[in-house]
Amino acid sequence: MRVSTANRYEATVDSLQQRQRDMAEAQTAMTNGKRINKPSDDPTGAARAERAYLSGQRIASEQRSVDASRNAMTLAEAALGQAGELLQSARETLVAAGNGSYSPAERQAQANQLGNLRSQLLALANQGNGAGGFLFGGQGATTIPFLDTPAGVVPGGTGGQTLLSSTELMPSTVDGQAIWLSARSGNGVFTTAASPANAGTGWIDAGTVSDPAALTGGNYDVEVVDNNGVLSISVLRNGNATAVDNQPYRAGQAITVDGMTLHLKGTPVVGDRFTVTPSAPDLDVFEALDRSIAVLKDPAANPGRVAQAVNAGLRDMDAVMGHMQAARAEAGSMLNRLDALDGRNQDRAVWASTVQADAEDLDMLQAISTFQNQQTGYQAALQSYAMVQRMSLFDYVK
Amino acid sequence: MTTSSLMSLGTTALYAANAQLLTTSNNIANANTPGYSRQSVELSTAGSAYNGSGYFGRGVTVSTVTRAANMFLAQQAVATGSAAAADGVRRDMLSQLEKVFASGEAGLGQAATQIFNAFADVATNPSDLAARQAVLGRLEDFASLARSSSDQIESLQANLVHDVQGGLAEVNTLATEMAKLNLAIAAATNRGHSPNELLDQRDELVRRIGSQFQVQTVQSPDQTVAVYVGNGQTLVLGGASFKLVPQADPHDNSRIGVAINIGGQIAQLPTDAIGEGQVAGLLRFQQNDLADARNRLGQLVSGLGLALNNQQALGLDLQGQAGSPLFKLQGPQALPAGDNARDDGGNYIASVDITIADPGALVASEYRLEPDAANGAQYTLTRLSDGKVFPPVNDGDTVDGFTITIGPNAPAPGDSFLLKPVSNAAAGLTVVLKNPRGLAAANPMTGVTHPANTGTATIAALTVEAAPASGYQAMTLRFTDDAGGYELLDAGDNPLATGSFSAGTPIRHDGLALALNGLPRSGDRISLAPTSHPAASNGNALRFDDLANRGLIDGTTVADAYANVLADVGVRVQGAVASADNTAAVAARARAELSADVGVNLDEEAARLIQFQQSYQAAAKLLQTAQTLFDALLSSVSR
Repeated sequence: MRVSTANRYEATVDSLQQRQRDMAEAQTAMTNGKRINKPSDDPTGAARAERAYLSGQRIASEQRSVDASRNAMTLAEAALGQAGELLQSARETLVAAGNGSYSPAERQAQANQLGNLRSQLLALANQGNGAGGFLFGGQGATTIPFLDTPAGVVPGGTGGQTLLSSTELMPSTVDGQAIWLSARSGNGVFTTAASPANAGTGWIDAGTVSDPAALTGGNYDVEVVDNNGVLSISVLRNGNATAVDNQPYRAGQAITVDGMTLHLKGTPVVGDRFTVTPSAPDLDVFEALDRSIAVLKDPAANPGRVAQAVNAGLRDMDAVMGHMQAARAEAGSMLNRLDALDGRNQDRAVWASTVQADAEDLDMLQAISTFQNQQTGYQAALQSYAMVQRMSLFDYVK
Repeated sequence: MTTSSLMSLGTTALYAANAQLLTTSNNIANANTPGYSRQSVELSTAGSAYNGSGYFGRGVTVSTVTRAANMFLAQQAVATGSAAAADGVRRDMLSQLEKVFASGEAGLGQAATQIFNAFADVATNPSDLAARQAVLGRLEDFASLARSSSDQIESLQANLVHDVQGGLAEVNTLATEMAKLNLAIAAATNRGHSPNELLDQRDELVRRIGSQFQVQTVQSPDQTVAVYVGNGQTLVLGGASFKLVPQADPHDNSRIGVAINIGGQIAQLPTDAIGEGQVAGLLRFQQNDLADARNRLGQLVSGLGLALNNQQALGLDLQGQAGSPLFKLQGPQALPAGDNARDDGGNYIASVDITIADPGALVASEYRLEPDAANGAQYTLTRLSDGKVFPPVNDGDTVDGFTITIGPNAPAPGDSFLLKPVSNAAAGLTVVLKNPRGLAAANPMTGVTHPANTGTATIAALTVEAAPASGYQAMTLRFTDDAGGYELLDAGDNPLATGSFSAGTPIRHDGLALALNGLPRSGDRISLAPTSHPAASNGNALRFDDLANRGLIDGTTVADAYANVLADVGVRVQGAVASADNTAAVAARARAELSADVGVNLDEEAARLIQFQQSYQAAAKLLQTAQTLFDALLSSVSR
């Protein structure tokens, strides 16, 4: 076949240019280490790399939420720990105040100390989260979440928890109202109290549950009655007589009714009355302290009232401390969960970057060897081109 | 036999050799001239004379100069060149288009993801104005990237229009020249010899027209060539040529099409009929690739932008007001075809309007709406991206996420409308919310579980799925048994609804959805109330963040949708490169075959040069011999 000279030149130059283009592409790929420099290099790989890259971005964002949540939970855990210590101090102060030999002035001093502890607790409850919000702000509080009013501490925000993710449980606040204002009152099952009108110095303890199956959940009145000259105890359930009817009073003797065991101590007088009501989740730590403080500050309080106040105060402190500890444990377990989330996010981030790298990164070894092949090929093409084009019959026509 | 006949014979030989040397030199001179065909001298014997002892040859005559021609190979070269030009230009345009859809940090996928991420930061601290400002910045990033992507697409469109116009102008010039050449060739042929240079020039013109526009050529007996385009419209006939004119597509005047002006009658050439050539490649790119790119971008922008706007409307801003829109999008369009019926004032009689009903169901396509011939009140709707024909639609129907409204005047038979639900969305995307306080990060409703609850149920999410018909009002959810039975009470404890809760399914009422974790017990209460501290609520910011995981774009997440766009564009480019390589190789081979047949090989010419030089020398020797003989004769006579 004849070959047209012009066409041969053109074709050779074309193929040399093609080789040069291939080499330039290979070089670009090697310089930035990417196999995929534009989607058309490998459409599926490019899409996979893009998805992995965007997942990586999302994971980084989620990790920021995890960090924020962890900060909040760490602060909350520390705050609850401090609250526990303050409550412990309050408890010790109450125990000291129960000393029967204290004068009203000495009780006043103890009351002042309790008041001091109370304001520290309130400051803790209103602690900020360092970013303009409140640690115990629940689902939102514009000012402080706990307002100290003459009628007691009232919640200024909305209860519940603010979460940082709709898929994972990542709180940025803790439910302050549940923690500070909603411990279970009494011993957790029922609450004992002395009637404020009591004239004697008798006082009732917090009571214990002796038979859970027999509990009725009703309201009880423990009345001190005169049974033919014998100081006796009668217990009424919702106004109706129970098995304990005219039981002779002996200080400290157990009164067992409907699965509850109560102890009445001191010197009650006829007509004194004590109540037993079902426990409710409404024990407000501030209110509990306020109640004790009010009695301790009252110079006219008789030993019975003082003992009742101290006893109720101790019972409440215990309940609140238990409640706080549970909340602290929850914050701790939340921290654990966040650590797990953190670990998972790290794994996912590694996964995402691995997928991205697998999809778009260049296999350097292969690339270098391909490039060298191309180089050799290009060199050979150049040489043969020069050699072949040199040959012409005109060179021999002399 | 005389010396004079010897002399004349030598002269013819010398003349023939000279002619051959001239032709060979011309071949050598034109070795690199585009379109030049190798020429050769056709010789024939000059007859013979009878002189009793036989017939004596009288030498050689130069009959004519012919060019090497191969009609079949030439036509093949033109046709394959057309196809290569079409595929090549599409590849070039697609490579440009590919740059519009960047991947990784520079891509729209990243810009969208950054919006969601910025909302996650707002959720962490909803009252932080810096975090809110960051969201606005991300929205602006997304909008400007979408706009610039759209601008790049439109600048491709503008370049394309320019290229088509340039291509048509070139074809017109070439066609005019060709008509002139036809006349010259016819005249020259009449003189008895083939005008080789003119024929070469005409072949070259056909090739150049063919690289712009696919042509059919027919040779007439008078050696003129007629050129036909499209469905057989005449471009050149003898000495007459007609003009191709750029003309807007009758169905979409933003697109360019091609028409031919034959004696004042302008006939549109359908894109499909244009075949191959650069202009055809550009038009195909415009019709398929560029339109798809515009629609994919628009679908992405509409899906995300409208979902963000909807979510914004369901939340409360820092002032406790329902959110005002974040984005302003250019609305969907319904374009009447250019040949729809018009009134006396030249305005279209019928009109169609479309509105977006469900941004998540939008498809990246345009649609054609025509009255259904079988039923006057119904319409045929065709999705142009895949050619799907929907069951006949009525006024007010919603298809693929948009609602079609006909009227007030309904289209008459023969009318058609091009519906563009998403095409223009990216072009006019602007962020209209400028105040970071206006971001609706707060949930309008807040749910609180009652502390006295005995069950373990906690609120996983209280979501506003649609603005409640009865407004946001305080309600209490009370469980009436341990199996999950509940009643929903209004503020006055009047029952609004009852139902049964099953784990994993949110409790829904009037646009609100309450998802619970854990198990409720009988008597447990959850109070739902309008949010009293919108500055501290992050509920809606979380919903915004969660949009990243939702199928906003025709059932896929924004990230996946964008990755799909990348893959789609990549596959197109890959395919275009492959077919361009393929057709270029075919064209190169056809060209090589043609030039092998008709082109100049310098070695061959060198050999011929030697050959003809020797002929010339031999002829000269002949003359010398004749002269010697003549001299000998003269000297013998003079004695």
